[in-house]
Amino acid sequence: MLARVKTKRKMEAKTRSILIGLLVGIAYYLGAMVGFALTLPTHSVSTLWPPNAIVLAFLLLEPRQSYWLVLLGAFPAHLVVQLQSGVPLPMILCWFISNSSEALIGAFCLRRYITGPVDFSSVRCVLLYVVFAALLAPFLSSFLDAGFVSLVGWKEQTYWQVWLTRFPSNVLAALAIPPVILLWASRGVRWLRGAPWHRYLEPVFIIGGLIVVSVLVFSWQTAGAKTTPASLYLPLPFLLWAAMRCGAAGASTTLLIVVLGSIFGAANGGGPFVSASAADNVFSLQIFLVAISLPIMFLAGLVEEQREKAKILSESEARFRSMANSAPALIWMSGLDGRFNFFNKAWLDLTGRTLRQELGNGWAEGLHPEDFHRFFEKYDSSFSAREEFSMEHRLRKHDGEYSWIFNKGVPRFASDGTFVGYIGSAIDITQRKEAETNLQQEREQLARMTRVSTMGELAASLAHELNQPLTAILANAQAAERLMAAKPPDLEEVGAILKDIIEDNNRAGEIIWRMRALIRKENIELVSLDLPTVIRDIVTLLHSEAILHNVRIRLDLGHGFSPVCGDRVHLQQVVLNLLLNAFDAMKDVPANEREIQLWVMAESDDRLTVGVRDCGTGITGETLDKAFEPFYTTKHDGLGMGLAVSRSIIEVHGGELWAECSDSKPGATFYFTVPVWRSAESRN
Amino acid sequence: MMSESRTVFLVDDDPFVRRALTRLIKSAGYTVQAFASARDFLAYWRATDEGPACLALDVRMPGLSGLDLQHELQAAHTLLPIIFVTGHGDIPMSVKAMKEGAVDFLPKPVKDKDLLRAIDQALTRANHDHAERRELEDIQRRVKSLTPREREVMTLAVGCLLNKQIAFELGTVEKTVKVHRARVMEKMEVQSFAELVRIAERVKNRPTAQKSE
Repeated sequence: MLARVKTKRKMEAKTRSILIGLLVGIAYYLGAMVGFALTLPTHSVSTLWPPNAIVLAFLLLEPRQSYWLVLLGAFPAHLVVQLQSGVPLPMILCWFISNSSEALIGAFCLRRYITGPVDFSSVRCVLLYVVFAALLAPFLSSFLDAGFVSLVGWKEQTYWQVWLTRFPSNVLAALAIPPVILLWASRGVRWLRGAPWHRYLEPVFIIGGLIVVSVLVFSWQTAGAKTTPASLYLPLPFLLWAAMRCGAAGASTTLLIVVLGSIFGAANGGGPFVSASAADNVFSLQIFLVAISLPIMFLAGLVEEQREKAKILSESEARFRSMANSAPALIWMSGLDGRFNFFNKAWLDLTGRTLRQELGNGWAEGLHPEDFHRFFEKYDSSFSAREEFSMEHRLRKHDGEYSWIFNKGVPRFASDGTFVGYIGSAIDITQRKEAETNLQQEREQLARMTRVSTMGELAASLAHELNQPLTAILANAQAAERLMAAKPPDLEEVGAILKDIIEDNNRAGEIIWRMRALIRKENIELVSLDLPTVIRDIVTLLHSEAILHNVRIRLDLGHGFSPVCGDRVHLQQVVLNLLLNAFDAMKDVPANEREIQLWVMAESDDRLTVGVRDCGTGITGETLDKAFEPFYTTKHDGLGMGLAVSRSIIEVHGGELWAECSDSKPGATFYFTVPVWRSAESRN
Repeated sequence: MMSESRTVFLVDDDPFVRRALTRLIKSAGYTVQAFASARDFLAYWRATDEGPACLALDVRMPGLSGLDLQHELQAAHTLLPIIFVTGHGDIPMSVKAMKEGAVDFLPKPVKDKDLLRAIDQALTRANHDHAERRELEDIQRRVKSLTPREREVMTLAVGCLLNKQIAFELGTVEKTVKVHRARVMEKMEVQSFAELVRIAERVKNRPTAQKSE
């Protein structure tokens, strides 16, 4: 089976080789015929000699190992052509060598730099072709050719005459013919087959118009006083049209028409190139054609290049869009003006709005009002600094509910490093956010529960604390009553009494307010607080409890500290818990030695440290580890949640809570830290 | 008879309560001396001569508590009646306080009538006790002026022995006893024998009250 396939392939290769050889031969022969036909009267050398160019075209179409085949195909045609015109055999052979060398020089040089098809689709390709195949190869091979002619002594021309005649002729041929062959071979055929009929209209119109114009300018018009040089420009619009609309293939085809038309006209005595001597006519015709071909070819190359670039760009754009739209993440882009110019499908599906509605800053209608300023502040500041940013915010969904999304924007830069805007991606984090909120709520619930239970323990002393102002108020009022009954009443004293009553009432109100705050407050809200004041307030509430336990609390709260970032009630809960623990720890200490020290200090710029030291029994290392675990307690009536809850409260604040015991001093010391307001702000 | 004292001492650690109670008590015509702590009061009280007065005392205070102060005063055999005024009195505490001789145990906030009645009661007791103590001291001074023989005669006489029996007991004669007896009546500043018996009974039952430091 395999052997059969191999044989088949071999057979095919052989057939193809023979076909190419034949094709080259025929093309070579026909090219030579055209060359003869285009020879101007009274001039021996053809204005345009296609065979060399045809060989070059085939060499560029075939791989290097098939070059011999091309040359082999061309040789018999060359022989036939030249024998017909009665050239001596040595000259024929020499010409074959020089002609082949031209084609080979062009092909080898080009192949050094271009590996794919030579399709004139870029300025580089056109430039390489012009330099190597159209200029260098004819330039070099013309020396060889002139040398051969001198050597054989053909037609008694001087070396330089031969060179000067042959060089422009071959340059023109190399410019006019191979591009047409190469392009039609590589793309033209495919285009002819694939395009719908209306696509033919434009090329047909161009070619038809060009043929008409060429006939008018180069054949119909005869040289003389009436001839206007301006008519030479008439083909130009068609050439430009072809180059712009149909690319290299169109340009080279129309160029060939002009070349053939102009030479044909001149050969038949028409057109502007017949007034001077034959040699001058040929030369000026060649100059004219080369001069018109070069810019048109470059223009076509440039057009192709731009078109390719545009195609690549639009392909990558389309690729990006399809990728962006199939991605599960929400993707957006903004331009240099900071306005949003793209949202992917996932985004539009989430918001339930159209791209048109979202563009610009339209999407911000769906941004939660509370997040609006926060987002644009961050966006604008990042934008002007060209920095990455990320934030969490709420976005309205199609059903009117808000989703929490994590949004991250990155600056975009073009390949040359210029800033072009932002690209951002976002994910829906509503579930995570809800879980966080639930956890936070549970934590706060627990904190509240332990707080309430602590308040229960404190009920007796709090009642006493509240009883004091009530006692004062009642006694004052009764005293006032008596004073008023006296004759004359001491109104001054009654005034003082009323003042005291008001003050006592305020005092009672404050106690009640603090108690209620401790019991009611649920969610942690971080605000700027004066830590010493917060601590003093809670210690005041513990006044009676301290007396009950015969404990003295020595406060060293200092002053001039930066405000901290915290929640008043929760911080008070922590202090309350630490103090009650300290009371408990000193149960077995003689009454006159029971003392607690509580102090505030600023050990670093970004945090305040609070210390609570008792002189009780202290904690052993083992218990120290367990003390912070939930449900661990040494009290017979405690929940064992105090320290665990306190630690979680301090952690929510971004601080730490820990205990220390020293062997040299009695008792234990608890510390906690709270970040100061300014550093907490910059952290966010 | 001396004029009745109307001095009330007040000890409470809360300045507002202290001021208000001072006003209330003053408005009823008493003289009030207020102290912020039990120790302050104790220092003052030890440094001054004791006169009839009463003490309105908070129970729970930093440092020395009200009950502690009561104990100290008790140990010093003082005649200062105490009225407890407290925010958190419980039954055991009040029982203990009353057993130790408190006049009353009033809960805060206190009603003026209750407080003033208690003060009145306490001052009455204080004045009475002080009068009694003064009388007793007077009797003792008189007893001290007796010679040992006269004291023996008095002791036997109030024991309802006849002069003859006393003479026999002391190994002397009835006439001598009569002389002694007249001297005792004179020194003891009594008009009748019945009066002497009453005074002698009191000296016998009451130990000598003394202020201890």
